[in-house]
Amino acid sequence: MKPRSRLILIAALIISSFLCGFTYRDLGTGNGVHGVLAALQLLPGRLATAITANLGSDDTKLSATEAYWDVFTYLDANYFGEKPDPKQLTYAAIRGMLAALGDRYTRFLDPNEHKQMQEENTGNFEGIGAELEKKDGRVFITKIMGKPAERANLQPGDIILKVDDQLIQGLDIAEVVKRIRGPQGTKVKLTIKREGVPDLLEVEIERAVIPFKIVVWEMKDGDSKIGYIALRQFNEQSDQLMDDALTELEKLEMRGLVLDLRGNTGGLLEVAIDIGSRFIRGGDIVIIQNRGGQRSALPAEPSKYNHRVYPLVVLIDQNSASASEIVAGAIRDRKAGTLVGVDSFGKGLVQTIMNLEGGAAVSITTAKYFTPNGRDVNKEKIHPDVVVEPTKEDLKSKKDAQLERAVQILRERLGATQAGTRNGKRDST
Amino acid sequence: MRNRIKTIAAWLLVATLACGAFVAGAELRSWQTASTPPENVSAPTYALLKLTPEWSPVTLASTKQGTSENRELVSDVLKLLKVHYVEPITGERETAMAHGAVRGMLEQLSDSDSRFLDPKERKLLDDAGSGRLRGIGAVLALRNEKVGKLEITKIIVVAPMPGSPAETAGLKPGDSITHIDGKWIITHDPFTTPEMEKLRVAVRNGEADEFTYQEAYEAAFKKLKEGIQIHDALESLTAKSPGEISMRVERPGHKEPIESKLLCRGTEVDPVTGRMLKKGIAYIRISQFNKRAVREFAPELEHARTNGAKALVLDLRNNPGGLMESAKEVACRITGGGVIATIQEKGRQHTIKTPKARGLNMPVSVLINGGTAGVAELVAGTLRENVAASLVGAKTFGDGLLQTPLLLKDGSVAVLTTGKMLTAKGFDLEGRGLKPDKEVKQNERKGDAQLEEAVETLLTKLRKG
Repeated sequence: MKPRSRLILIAALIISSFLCGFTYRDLGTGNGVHGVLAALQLLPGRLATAITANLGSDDTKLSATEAYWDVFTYLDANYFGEKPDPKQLTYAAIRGMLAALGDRYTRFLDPNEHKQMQEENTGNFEGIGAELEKKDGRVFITKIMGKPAERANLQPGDIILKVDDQLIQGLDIAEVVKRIRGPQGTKVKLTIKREGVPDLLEVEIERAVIPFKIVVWEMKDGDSKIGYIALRQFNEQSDQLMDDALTELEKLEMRGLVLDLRGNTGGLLEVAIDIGSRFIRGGDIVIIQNRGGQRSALPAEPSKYNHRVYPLVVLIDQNSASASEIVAGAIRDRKAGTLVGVDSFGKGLVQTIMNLEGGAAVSITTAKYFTPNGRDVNKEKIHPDVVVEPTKEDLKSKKDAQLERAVQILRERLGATQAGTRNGKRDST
Repeated sequence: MRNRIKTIAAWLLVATLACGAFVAGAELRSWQTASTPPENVSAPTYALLKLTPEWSPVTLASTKQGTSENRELVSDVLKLLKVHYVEPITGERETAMAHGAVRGMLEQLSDSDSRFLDPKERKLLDDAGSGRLRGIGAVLALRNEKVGKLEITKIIVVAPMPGSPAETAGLKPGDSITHIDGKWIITHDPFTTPEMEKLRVAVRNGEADEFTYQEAYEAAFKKLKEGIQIHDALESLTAKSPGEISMRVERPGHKEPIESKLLCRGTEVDPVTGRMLKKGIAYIRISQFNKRAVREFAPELEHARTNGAKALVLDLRNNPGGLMESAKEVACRITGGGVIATIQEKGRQHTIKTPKARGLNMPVSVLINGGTAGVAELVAGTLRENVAASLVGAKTFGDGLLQTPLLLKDGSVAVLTTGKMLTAKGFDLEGRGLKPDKEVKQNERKGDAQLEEAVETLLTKLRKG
């Protein structure tokens, strides 16, 4: 009996060692008990893939370069009909190749698109200066912010049906934006449905450089001293501008802050961490999982946490993506503020842009990220704590219901704090 | 003492085993992360539109030696992905990418016959080529039309195959399918249809109220939002597993659209059938030029001869074409051999000759209609030119483009339009089709008027001859 129980003990020891080794990698997140629990949760799935992967075979492998080249050369020599430009054919092949990955952020940028993207990173972009939103399958204009759109008399609430005579049904908003943007001086034709106007409006708009303010700030409410900062993009200047805006608002004795990340589609990862660090004291901002499944937590930068602490509300919408979601997710998980608005875009992937010969580039998804509590943003999006959905009427009357709600929340909180102060239970700040 | 050593050795062994297990686990895990199968590699399925009239598929010896900046670009992108992409590029994933690359290139081409088929889709094509069809059992084609400013891409029925659900449901060549299971197929821009334009003008002139227009606009928007893409529609029609499908069809000459419901199932086409008609006239129908037709045509003809046939009705109606080899075999048994087609390819032209054979030496009448397409049109044209066969029925489909299937290593295939077929005397079929010598409208209630006319023609010839 005794040798038998010893045998069982030994077997159990060996099996648990094996499992420990198997999960070892998932523990690399440095998130204490959370990490261990997460790793254990992953275990059954990991084992299942390990077993099924064993059964798969590589017999029917086809090399992408060879397949491309075989068809390209054959086509070049034998295609009956008008032969497309070889360069465009190659670009189409690369686009098709990347599309097969099923990850829309891993994409090819031809020399024009690449140039356009670089210019946008410097803060300016070329386009018509209208903000768009997609809702119920329709693409609306939500805001006019540039001369070309203004001159063409576009209005908030206009529905865009076609861009350059092409239906945009089924395209995601990023693709629509891409089609509308273009070098200054060139024209884009929009087909628009405006409520109350039977005719479809066709407007030709000349694109121009749209000056783009990365950070916009103001004191919203003189009495309650509620500050407002809109951050439009996470680029190299963003953190400095954010610091400046906070400093200015503090000079005006700000007591609560609304951080507006609506329409902010992201930018640089490092900048997201810097911005997040301004509102989060120590600890992690985001967890990056690289190829191979290794996770590393990126902590807040303590030196950036150098402003006063006040109640914070973050506004998010369906266009808040990537870096915006990192910041909003961290603020939510670390309980540094309240999120107001609607579900975010849901992009939990990190891309790296890599240059190619001839001015083209490829944007490759190189990592996934998770919020500090381990939530997968790609699958779950960031849910606001307080959902405020703008109505059609709001859009028409240019009423910003989300912002109003944010200010109201802060006012209530400040009121409560004030009451507390009067009772002498808290120090005034 | 010895006992203690034994115990220590035993525990050491256990410890080593445990360590080994730990390392094995870690190794398995890292090996596994390096070969996770792709998550959602999905690619659209392209339905087969048309059978491929090619004599033999081409396999290329890989052209590794050539190089260009284009090739470099593709290979650079692939290398970057292999090193940096968040998921490992497994063999399976790279194969999917290879398919994507070829698909992306072929989509750039202006003709809808050039297309990529993955191994599964290729099987569909191969099966269809040998007479086994799935879905509704009809050969389909895409055709672009212009109505005023509006561009429409129609899904056209080329030929419902005999015994197929499509035939049972009464589909006719030339029908265009507009809805599947109540869903509109996105064939055009619904905002700029002639009706919408008319309504807009009416509102402007105060002849219709704005509300009516708004309603029409909302309806168009809803239609677009709920519509299905052409490729998905083609997939349902040609690859759907057994089950019910309902369609709305527009038929030329009919004002009202036709609703039909049919039960999809496999259809096995009998390519060659024959019987004797009255007064020594043999009737042979070829429904598809496939490999089986090659084997079965000569015996069927022989059978007719031994039964004392003096003239032949060759029924090529609803024959969507097929393999050139098969068409050659049928043609030479009647003509006795000779040129069947002139092929125009890029920068060269050549003729296709059939082998010498014992000719038929009797009057022939060929039945054709709008479902006679590809090499079937070619055979009809050749018989008219070579043995003075009279063509009876309706104008043929007009498909004269020739495709070459380029086989890739994994069994997928890139189908490319590489040429155009003309009849031996140089008649260009593409887009025009053959006109019959005697046009006869078919009236379903009154039996087969076209066949009767063909028989009459032959009887007249026999009386004269």
